[in-house]
Amino acid sequence: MIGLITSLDDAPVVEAFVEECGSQLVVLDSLEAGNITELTAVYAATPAMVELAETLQHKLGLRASGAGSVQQRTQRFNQQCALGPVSIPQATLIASETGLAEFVRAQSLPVVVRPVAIGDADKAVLLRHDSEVGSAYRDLANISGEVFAAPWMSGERYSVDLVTFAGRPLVADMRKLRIDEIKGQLLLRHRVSVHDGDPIAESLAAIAFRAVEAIGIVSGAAHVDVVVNADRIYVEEIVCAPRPFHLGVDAAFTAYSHSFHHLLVEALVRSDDFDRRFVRKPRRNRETLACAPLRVFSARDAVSFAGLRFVRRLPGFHSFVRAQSAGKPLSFGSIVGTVSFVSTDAASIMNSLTVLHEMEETDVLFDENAEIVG
Amino acid sequence: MVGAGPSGIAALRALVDSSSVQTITLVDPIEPGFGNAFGERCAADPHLMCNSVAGVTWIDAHRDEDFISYLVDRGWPVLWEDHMPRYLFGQYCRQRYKEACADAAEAGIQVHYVRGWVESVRRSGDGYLLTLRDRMEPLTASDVLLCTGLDVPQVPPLLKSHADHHRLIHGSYPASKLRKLPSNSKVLVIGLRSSGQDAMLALSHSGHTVVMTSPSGRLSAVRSKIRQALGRHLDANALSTLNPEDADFEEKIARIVSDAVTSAGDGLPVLEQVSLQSDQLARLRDEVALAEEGKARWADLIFDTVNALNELVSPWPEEIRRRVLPKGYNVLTRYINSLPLLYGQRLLNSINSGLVSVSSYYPECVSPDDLGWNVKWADGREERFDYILAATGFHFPRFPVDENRAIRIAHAGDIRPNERLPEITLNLRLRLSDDSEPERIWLVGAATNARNLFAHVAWVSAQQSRSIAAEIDIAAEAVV
Repeated sequence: MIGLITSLDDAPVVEAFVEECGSQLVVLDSLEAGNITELTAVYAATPAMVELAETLQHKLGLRASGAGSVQQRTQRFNQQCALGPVSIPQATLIASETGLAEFVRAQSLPVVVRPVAIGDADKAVLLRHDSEVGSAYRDLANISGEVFAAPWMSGERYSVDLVTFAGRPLVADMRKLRIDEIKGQLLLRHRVSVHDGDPIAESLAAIAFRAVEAIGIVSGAAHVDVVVNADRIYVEEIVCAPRPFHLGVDAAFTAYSHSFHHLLVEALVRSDDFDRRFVRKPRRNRETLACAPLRVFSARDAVSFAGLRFVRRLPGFHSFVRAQSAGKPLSFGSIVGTVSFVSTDAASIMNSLTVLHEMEETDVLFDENAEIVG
Repeated sequence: MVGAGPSGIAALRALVDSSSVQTITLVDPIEPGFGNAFGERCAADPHLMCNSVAGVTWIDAHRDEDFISYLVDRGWPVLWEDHMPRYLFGQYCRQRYKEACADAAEAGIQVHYVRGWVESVRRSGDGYLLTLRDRMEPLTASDVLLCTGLDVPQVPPLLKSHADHHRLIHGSYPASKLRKLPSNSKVLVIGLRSSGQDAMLALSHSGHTVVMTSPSGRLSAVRSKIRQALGRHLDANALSTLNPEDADFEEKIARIVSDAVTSAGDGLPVLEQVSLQSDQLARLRDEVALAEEGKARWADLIFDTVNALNELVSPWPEEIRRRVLPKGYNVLTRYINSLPLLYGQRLLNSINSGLVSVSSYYPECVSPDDLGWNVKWADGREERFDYILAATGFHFPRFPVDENRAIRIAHAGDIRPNERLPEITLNLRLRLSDDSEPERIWLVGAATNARNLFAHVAWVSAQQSRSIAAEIDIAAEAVV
């Protein structure tokens, strides 16, 4: 019996596990849940559950991740320390508002502040002046008053999505990210696939492999966030469980003929099949895949989603996976769902993404009275 | 082909359909199809609409209503008279680019795309060398099509000495840059035409306060929906016989247009279709009301007027064009570049909300400091603004020649002292001097603006492209 630990019923990886394991799967949401003695493996379905999954594995005497402490996989500061030369310089833990203000003053770059522990729906706040510190600190500090702070490194941002089995990592996906600062918050706008032949792909894979080794991931998921600028490459964060984006996995199948989630499940429950993939690696050349979380940016709560008809007519549109039920009021920054695009025409996809973001920002998506045809 | 925006794709389509071309290379810093005006920079905001109705928007002169056909293919409910979001036109051109490439491959024509900027074109043997920015190796071509469009915003003379000031915003695009201004900014928008309207929309949507002005102080007219009524009202034959040297030329042209407007209105007199109010706000209100009532029927003449005027004016010698055209140009552009009703209503609503006003005066002088601008109006008032936005449109392309006969890809605001502008022949070729043959260099779209009126309009490019492709065919056959 496989135990899958999740606090989110609709975490996208659950579906992939259910498809593969069926009655052999038990979904847990706490240490006490389920018939623990029958479990043969325990996995975290979301980042917030990594610590609990590892605790259960240890308690049951199951194979846990390898060397390196759980803290390196769940706590931002410990992780940065373990990453050594590819870590973000000056990253630190701060335990007071005054300390954070001093840190912001001392940096020549903007400072990004995040929660100490890697969670499911992490906020990231960008600070440029010590006057902005108060609300960010109050919003993000944990019960012992700590926040994680680091300089915001400029550069291109990528996510390398790895599936590791028996200490061998495999690149399942690689995306270029657009992250915008909107009202002080850092928000992911979209992720666009990086093809195998892209000149950056090899160095991104190499640094991601080193990073998962450094924090001791032997088995399971790892999203390695990388910043590339003119000087060097940094690893900004490694998330050691499937991210809870509401991804359309079928869009990934259309684009690549595999999905990160299905490769992960394959590695964990059908390892013989997964082993074959090290001989003929999964490819990302046929089409360009882009996913964009749709967000509410209007000043008022959004209820209608009338503008989805415009989104569905954008070139390359593949699918929309809803994250919130229709009619539920949504506030600033909320994610309504994820739009996926697949096309051989990368330029059209980039155009569609730009128009999509304009639709989000100008409220066309959420205003049932919006008129764009005259 | 230098430039691969809509006019470039119109030319590509025509060349692929012609028989003589073997290899086509498109050079543009932007991926082919979208261009600057209809790509991510200028057109991504879905509120920005095409100024032409869908029914007269196409880049293939052999396929009327081609844009509508594309929209229907993509599931849009669309009528001939609809104004569609501008980004859709860019996407349409991209789609037609891909189709033209596929057709070219089938016909054995090679199409290459080079991402880059062509800086100059120079004759070399039987063909031309094209020098690209940041690239050592020039491109070679037997024939060159210059299809460059509008991408450098104009700076009004009032602001030229402050062009580098950090609180001067150059151009209205992308709209997202205007939304990112600090909350509740007060912005002086200089320019009342399309760019100014777009800026007003983005700024007022974001809650900023906007004062709009221009040297002429005239807003564009507001029009009713254009009906499918081509070629019915304007007496193009009468127009084509007019002689610009005739003493009664202006009176005659006014009579032809007046008759056409009355005919378009099914007998409704001109004065009941337009407003002559001198106050701009009162005039805007009048014109929105007329358009809402469907009385601004002069709108049905726009397509025919552009075509007929180009037929009339293009053959005129440059000296006559320079002397005669300015007399009617302001009135003409006010109606040809008129606002679709939805735009007019948005402008009026913004004015009524108090966020937008249109100044009756133009600034006498402006002086910036670190936090904004002091503006002295012509009536003596002084007013403070956080930003000034230069929204006076784009420079049109120009192709100046230096003493070494190198043709530079430039624009009207960038002519150097050692350069002169070559003639654009009637068939849109460049001729470098009076005693030389026209070059095998053709101009398409906005690039022909020094010769053709409203040259940036898509259907004009489409018509030009077919003529040019036919001419290249004939020239190639002659060589054979």
